[in-house]
Amino acid sequence: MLNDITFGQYYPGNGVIHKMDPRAKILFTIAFIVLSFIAGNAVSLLLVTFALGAVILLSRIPLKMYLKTLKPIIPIIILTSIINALYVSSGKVLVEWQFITITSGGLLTAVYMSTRIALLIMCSSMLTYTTTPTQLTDAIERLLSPLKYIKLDVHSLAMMMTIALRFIPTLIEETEKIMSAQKARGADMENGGLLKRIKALIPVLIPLLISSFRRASELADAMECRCYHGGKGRTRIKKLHMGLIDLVSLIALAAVFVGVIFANACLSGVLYSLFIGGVL
Amino acid sequence: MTPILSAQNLHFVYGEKTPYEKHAVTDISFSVMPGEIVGIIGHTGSGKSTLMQLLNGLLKPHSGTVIVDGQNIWQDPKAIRQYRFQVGLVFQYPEYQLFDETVEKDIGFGPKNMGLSEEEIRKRVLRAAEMVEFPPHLLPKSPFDLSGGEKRRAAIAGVIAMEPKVLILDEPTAGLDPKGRQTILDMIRAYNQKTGAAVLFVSHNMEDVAALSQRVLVLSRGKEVLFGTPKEVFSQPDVLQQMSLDVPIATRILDALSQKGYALQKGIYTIPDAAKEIVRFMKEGDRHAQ
Repeated sequence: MLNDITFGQYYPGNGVIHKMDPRAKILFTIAFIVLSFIAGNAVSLLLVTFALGAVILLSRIPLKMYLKTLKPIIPIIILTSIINALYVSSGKVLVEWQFITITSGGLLTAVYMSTRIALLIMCSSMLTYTTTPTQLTDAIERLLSPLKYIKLDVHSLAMMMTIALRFIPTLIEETEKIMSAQKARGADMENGGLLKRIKALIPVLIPLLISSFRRASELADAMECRCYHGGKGRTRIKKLHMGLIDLVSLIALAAVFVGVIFANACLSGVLYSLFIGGVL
Repeated sequence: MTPILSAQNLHFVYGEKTPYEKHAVTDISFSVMPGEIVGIIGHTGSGKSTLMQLLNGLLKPHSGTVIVDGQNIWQDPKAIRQYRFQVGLVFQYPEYQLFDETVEKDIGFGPKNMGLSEEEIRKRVLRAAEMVEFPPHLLPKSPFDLSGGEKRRAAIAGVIAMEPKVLILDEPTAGLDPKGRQTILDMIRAYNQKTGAAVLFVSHNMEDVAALSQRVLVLSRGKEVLFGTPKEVFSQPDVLQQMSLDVPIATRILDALSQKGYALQKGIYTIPDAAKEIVRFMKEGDRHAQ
């Protein structure tokens, strides 16, 4: 039941994207999202979409997995589309009924915005599907490391994140175990009103809380036993290396970037005049 | 006599159609008679825990049926809770599920879910506490103030208080000291004898299995490998060793002695029986010498 949580789940694989340096993946993901918002017309947005499509193909993860992550944000997409369609007024007026005015520009903005949100979500799920949580926090630690000059303890932050992420599956497993144990004693968690269901959670939450504290203190002991004393002077067993794949993807990204800028500057309105302008 | 619990061609798969897919239980069929004690052995990951949860309806088999007292438990999925009272399941390290303010309330959680009267709940709590030798003066205490062994017994009492016809225990003696272990084993036997309930228990300790069970079920990689009396099962040390399991120490000692040329009887698996056999052999040897 709790296993259905897909967000942030690693999808084991051996493709090129899996092999990329996690730092590069994080930076490229951010760059890609920025890019999709810079893309100001249909041509450049299509270019960005194709680029993501190529990455999805390379990641060797079924498209279904990506579409699954879109499901929960459909309401957000619909809402933004409606707001954009109603409030942006430029171009031709398509519908005018009482206080509702829909313009072609508004419709276009709605389509662009929806595409951007979908790109954003799929791109970030690509990151979490192809990168293990440990790699992610490792990369975040390295990327944030300049912040230690302003006295921010980046290592502790990253360690806390690693531990938190590490214990999510453990806690889920523990929750399921305790739920099963209480169900075996006849606890009814599926039926009844809201209040009854909240009450039914008490036999699960109390043991879970207690075992979390127990785990935390055991983990602290185990870390101290291995002489853990923070990040100072720590070396790593897995060094991150930027490789050929990362260089190639940097070049590809740069190419897409140039393409988007070019399309924005020179081709503005080409598709618009071709399709929408022509039809209407 | 009809079996109190029977499993027919049970199949269960975790994470179907994902990269994590795992066939936990494959084609398992066996039945348990009323009043019988069955030991379940198998290495880690052999599907024991999954099987137990299938037997009391916590998991639904992908195919196959579980029959409790002549009834298919998944006949009416809405009535599944009722079978959880009939087939009591004690999980591994059950002390981690204690939650209520007092031990008494915690033990009474199951009976309360059954919808029994306050009076009946109280009676059952006392009966269950007595069965697991839980000191009555500790009943009003918080379960979190108890010692490890006391917590374990309180948790087991929580399942026993439902007075199930079949009691299933997943490694009930794990992590206990020898005395605590003995208490739990005595308690299992007492519950079986006093109530006539069938008992299934998982254990990694072959001595416990040999001492307690009338029949032994051996699992490996989700499949049923052997099912028979301890004599039948423990007479096949090769099969057991292939699955990184072992025969009881008494059997091993007698086997080693036999290999050295002492004509000892085969098929002995408890320490008292082995001692008797050795005494018999030595007396006979004396007679020959005279």
